[in-house]
Parts: sequence; C-alpha cells; structure tokens
Amino acid sequence: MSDLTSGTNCSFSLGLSQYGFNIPSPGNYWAMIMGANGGGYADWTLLQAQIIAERATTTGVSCSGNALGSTCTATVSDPSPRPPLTPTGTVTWSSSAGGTFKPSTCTLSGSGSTASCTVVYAPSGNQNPVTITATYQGDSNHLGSVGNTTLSAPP
Amino acid sequence: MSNSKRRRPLTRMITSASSIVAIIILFLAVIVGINHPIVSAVASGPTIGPSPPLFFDSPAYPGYPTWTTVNGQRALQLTPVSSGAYAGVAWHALGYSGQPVGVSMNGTYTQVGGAGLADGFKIVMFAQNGTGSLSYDNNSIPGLSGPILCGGPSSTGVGGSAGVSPDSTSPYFSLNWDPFYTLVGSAGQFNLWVINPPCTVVANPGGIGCSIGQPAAFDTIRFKTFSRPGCRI
Repeated sequence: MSDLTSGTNCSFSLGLSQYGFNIPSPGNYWAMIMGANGGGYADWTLLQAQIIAERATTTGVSCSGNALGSTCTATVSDPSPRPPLTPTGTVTWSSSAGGTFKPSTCTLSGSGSTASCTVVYAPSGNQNPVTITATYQGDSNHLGSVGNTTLSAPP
Repeated sequence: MSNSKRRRPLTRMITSASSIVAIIILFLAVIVGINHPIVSAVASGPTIGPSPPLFFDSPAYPGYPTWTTVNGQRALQLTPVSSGAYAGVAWHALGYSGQPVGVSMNGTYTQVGGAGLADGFKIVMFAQNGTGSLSYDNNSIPGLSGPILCGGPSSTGVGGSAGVSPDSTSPYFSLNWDPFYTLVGSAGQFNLWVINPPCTVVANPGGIGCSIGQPAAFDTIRFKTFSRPGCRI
C-alpha cells in the first residue's frame, strides 16, 4: 500500500495571476481545511492546523570601500504599518566575483522595525564591477528578502 | 482508471436531527472554551488573532467532523471511510493587511478501504472584509445557513468532493492534495481551484505540482500553503 519514503518532501510554487486570481482587499483572513473522499476511502483526520501570518521585509546593502575590499552592512526592515516587530535571524552573503565574507553569515541586531549586521568582504580576483548580495533568511514572523549593491574598482 | 472513480452527486443538505445534535455539541464545545488544540493562529502582531473553529459537514455524513484520538492526541476526524464524504473546519484571523499568509496543517488517516486513498486534504484561503461573509453547508452558524456548494472536479476530473467549496464575497483559491493522482500515474498530486464570487470556478488545473506518493496509515502529512505578494503560492 505504502510507497512513501519517510520524510518525502514535495513543494512547488504557482503564479496565481495566470489563473485570474488577484489578492483581495485587506480585511480578515479566513482559512478552511477539508477532507474528502470522492471515490477513495480513508478517514482523513486533522491533527493540527494554524494560520501563519508573515510580514514582508526589505533588505538593503551598503558598503564602504570598493571592489578590492569592503565592509558591508545589510539592513533588514519590516515595512508593516502595524506595531513594529524587529526582524531577527541571520543574513548570508555572496559575491559575483567570489571571495570571502567574514563572518560568512552574520546575525541581525536592532530595534523597532529595523535590524542590521556587518561583514568584511575580500575579493578573490580582479573582477570589476562586483555585485554583493545579502540574503535574509526570515524568522518565524518575517518573510525572507534579498538585497544587493554594486562595487567598482578604484580608477 | 480515473473513470472508474465513483463520485457521489452533491445534493443540497437535508438537516437531520442527528446532525443538529452533533453540530450543537461541537459548537457548544467552542463556546464554553474547551481547548481546541487543532486550530490556532500564529500572530505576527497584536491585531491578528483567531476565531473559534467553525465546522461544516456533508449531507450524506452529517456526523462528521467529529473529535477522535490518534496516538493519544486529540484530533478532528473529517471524514469516515466512505465514498462521497467530505467535511471541514474553518476559522479566521483578524487584521489581515496584505502580508504573506500561510495555512499549515498536520493530518493523517488510520483506516482505508475500497479504491484506496482519495481525495486527501484541501486548504482554502480567503481574504475578505467582515467576519460573517462565508456560507457553509450546514446551519451551525447563525445567519449563515447554507447550503452552498461551489466548485466541482478539477480539469482532470480528479478531485471528487474535494471540489466542494464555500460561497464567498471575494475571490479565493484552494489547493487540494489528492493522493489519488498517484494511482492514475500523474506526476503531480495537487488540484487548484480559483473561485470568483460568489461561486464561479475560473480555473481548476489538476495533476499539478509534485508527489509524496501514497502515505501509509498513521503517517503524518504536513500540508502547508503560503500566499505571498505577487499572487504566488
């Protein structure tokens, strides 16, 4: 009967606008969970359910220095008009030119609706310009986001 | 093989005395504050919070949903092991302001028979003004007596009574995990319905997404649906 491998995971995303769906006006959010047997037979049973309301974030990147070496700061903001909730968690870094970030992952700190963390970037080559990307992973209340900036070598 | 899948016609509900008793018991359980571990809202701000769960049943099986115990844990049995059965639970969170929202559930089954597993679970997600604008196909909610049956099979014909959805005053979508697709050789196990108010199906692709195969009884099925800005789920 069972062909399920323990821990089997399946995830996918859909662009709902292609099906004519647009997010309705804000108001209240409803969720409904159904179990159904069309022609099959199982006692579909609900063990646990929840609504998860995440907040969107924006990630900005600012760097001092240039493509030969720089100190970069990621600032993660929660633009929600509701009472502020400080983003927490970590930011990971990457570069179009490779190189190293120290630390490779930084931990946010802040207050209100904004938090930030800083790393030091050292390139591995002479590429110019260099795009620095910071990826916020999100936390239990916030959706992740990505920001970037471009560094140029000195003339 | 999909043609062999029997489907029970969806008829208007005839409320029976037994269903009224069942509904009253369930609803009273909510009102008097009995703990309901199966539904909750994760609040990302002080203005978002859950309503008590609202239950709805099907005409042929008005005794469901019903409380049960699985592995020592309180659970809500949505359907019996019977063809044509469907039932559900709904609740709302106040204060939606356009942020990404997800619905997460853990489910299972303990018995199976007949043609195998179908049609699994379905998550329906709404955003609309007011708290009383949904209609259900039972009479458990004062002023919102049904029955309203919206939906139907997916474009592939697989979905059965999972196509049943409530009437709504705003567009919404529902995503159904249907393990029956595995039995007909489809690579995807999901049906999507996009509904325009009050009850018009504007899209219903089926056999989409991916597959976890056929879970065994007592496996935990974790089903999460997220709606993010830009109309992606």
